[in-house]
Amino acid sequence: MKFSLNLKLAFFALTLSLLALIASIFFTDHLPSENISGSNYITVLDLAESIKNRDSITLIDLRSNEDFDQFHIPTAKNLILPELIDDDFNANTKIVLYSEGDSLSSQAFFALKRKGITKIRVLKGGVQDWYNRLLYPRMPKEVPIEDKALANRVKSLSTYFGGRSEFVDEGNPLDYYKNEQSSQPIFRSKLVRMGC
Amino acid sequence: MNGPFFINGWIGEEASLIFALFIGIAFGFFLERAGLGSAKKLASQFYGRDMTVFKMMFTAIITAMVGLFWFDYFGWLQLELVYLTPTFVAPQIIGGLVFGVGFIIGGYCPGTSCVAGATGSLDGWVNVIGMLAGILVFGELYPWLESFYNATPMGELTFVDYFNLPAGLMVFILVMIALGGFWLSEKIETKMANKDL
Repeated sequence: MKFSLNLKLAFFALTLSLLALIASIFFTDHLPSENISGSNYITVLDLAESIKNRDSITLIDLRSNEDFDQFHIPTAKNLILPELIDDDFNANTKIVLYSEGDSLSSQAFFALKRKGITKIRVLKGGVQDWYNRLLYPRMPKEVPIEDKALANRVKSLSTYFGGRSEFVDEGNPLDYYKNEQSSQPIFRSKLVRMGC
Repeated sequence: MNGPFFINGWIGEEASLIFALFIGIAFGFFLERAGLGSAKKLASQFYGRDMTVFKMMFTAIITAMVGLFWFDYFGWLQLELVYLTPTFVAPQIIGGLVFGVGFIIGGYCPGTSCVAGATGSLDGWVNVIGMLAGILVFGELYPWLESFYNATPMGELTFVDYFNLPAGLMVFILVMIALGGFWLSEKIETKMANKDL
């Protein structure tokens, strides 16, 4: 019995996809994971504190020049990805990367790691979280007693950088600062878009 | 050596543009060879007479998907560095509708209109001119459209992340849907062809 080329190709695709299914269920730890782990992130609060304390960090804004001119985190230097790759950094420089969210900074993170620079951290949530969680954080009207210290820390850092807190009724927005996960964007007015 | 080459610094900006040129030429060439430079063939898709567009698009999708999965699995490519278009629900639904209406009326999508134009087709050129004019009008109207353009953002989403599925399961499901779709589309083609007789 002779099979047509189309049928052979279909069978090939089916085999590869079946193997993919098996591989991703049973053989997941074949390679060291290259995801950014929690310790490679820096939270907006920790970054704000570092800037305030004048720690020696190189803060890099990966967004476009226009976006940078409109708004950036104090002390940041604007380098887009190709510039960052070409730039010569001392291997010991402590670098903090940020972009609109997490994705561009993650790309830059791996690019620098490949160049042998290891002391890199990525600002969790990027400039969005800086704006929404540090400059204009939302606070519960009644702060639970166990969150008082955290609320004060957020409020004082927000004021230091010229922002102001907004008080809300529902939920406890302070949970964000306790959570390791990056937040979903609340507003995204300046997302860099590429496409086909 | 692993990908993406540009982000990992293996190639510079100039080299990446040369890659883009060759990939673009190859893309156009194969679109034309698949017969997608003909508005009649493209429009037949919507009447169920010729499912080439469906078969060709779905073949491209599953080929790229299976390839990316295994390249990532063997560490030749870092999937998390591959650019994803962020999801904006409302503007993308409207954009999709505008695209679909334009596709049926004009007989081409943006890529195939360029391919048709390159083969000397006049309606291909009219579509290309219309597309460029549309880009200009959109650019001029952008300040008024900006808030809608950025409405309902969901960030960079994939089914795998959103539903927390193993990537291989998604690959398997889509390949099954594609193969089922190919089988069904051949049936539809035969049925519609008989109807015409």
